[in-house]
Amino acid sequence: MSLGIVIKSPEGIVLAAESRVTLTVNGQNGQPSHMVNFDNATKLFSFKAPHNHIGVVTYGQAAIGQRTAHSFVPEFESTLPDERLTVAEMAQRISDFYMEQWNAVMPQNYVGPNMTFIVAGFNEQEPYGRVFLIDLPQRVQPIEQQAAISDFGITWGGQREIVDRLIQGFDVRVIPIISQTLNLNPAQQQQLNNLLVRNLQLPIPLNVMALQDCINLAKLFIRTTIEAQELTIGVRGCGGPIEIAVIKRQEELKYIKHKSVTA
Amino acid sequence: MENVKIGKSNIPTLEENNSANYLVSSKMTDLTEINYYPEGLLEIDMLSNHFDYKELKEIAAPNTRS
Repeated sequence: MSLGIVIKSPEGIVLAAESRVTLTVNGQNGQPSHMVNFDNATKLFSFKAPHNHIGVVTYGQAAIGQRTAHSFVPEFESTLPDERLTVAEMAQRISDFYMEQWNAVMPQNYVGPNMTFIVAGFNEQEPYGRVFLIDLPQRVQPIEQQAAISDFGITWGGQREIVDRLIQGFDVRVIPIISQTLNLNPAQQQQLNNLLVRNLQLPIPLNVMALQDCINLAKLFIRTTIEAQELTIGVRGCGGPIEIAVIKRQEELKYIKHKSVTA
Repeated sequence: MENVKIGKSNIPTLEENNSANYLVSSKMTDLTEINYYPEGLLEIDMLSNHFDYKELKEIAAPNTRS
């Protein structure tokens, strides 16, 4: 479940996530009987200096065994060196650490969503940020998003149906439905997809957008998803407070919206 | 009206991958003109607040009217 978004823009990086974790409780016959939501999970996390130029958003599989990804952060931090790592090095360390936890308790024949991490931050002396995607256990090698240094973009995942529709202009299931109905071959499907994207995609000019605009954009996508789920039939996997952080060149990660414990 | 560079979405099916992305590539050389009105409609009165879909159809496809 969940929804996480990272935007790499010329003025910095925006990380955003909501706070719902959904647990499925099995009945006596092993079949799922209840879905229970908790709305205070932490899916956007940061690290102490000198690694506070990097942030992580996680979505998909919420827990390894009985523990959330965020609950492992203290143990992970204790493995970090005293000198600043590059974003790529940090992504690799996150992948290795969480894969080790995964292998220790998760079944070998696991079937389910990946535990995804978007690792984003700045390298020293570089003008723009770096973003890496890790999907455990399937894809342990971090894959850089917007890989050229002056590429910009949005990476999102989890329950992404609403955001897909907003950005792409149509549901991702449109192409398979039309293709099946009209018996289109792969080349025709690609042609149809290109045509629809070219005409329907939301034109987002990230290159000219200020960091505040990118914050607003991330908030729009998550808030819209939460509100759409509240009004429709389906799995309400997104909810709770929206957390947002930004990382600017030569500055540490800063929370723009951050929940705190209260009574 | 400015010519600006917009991105391209890459959205796999949920079975393929639970992540998607929108990329504004530095390699893209073609600029996209952001134009919220169909071609040929720029001469219409932009200040009018009575512009509706019926008018749009009539202006955009004058040759298809019976």
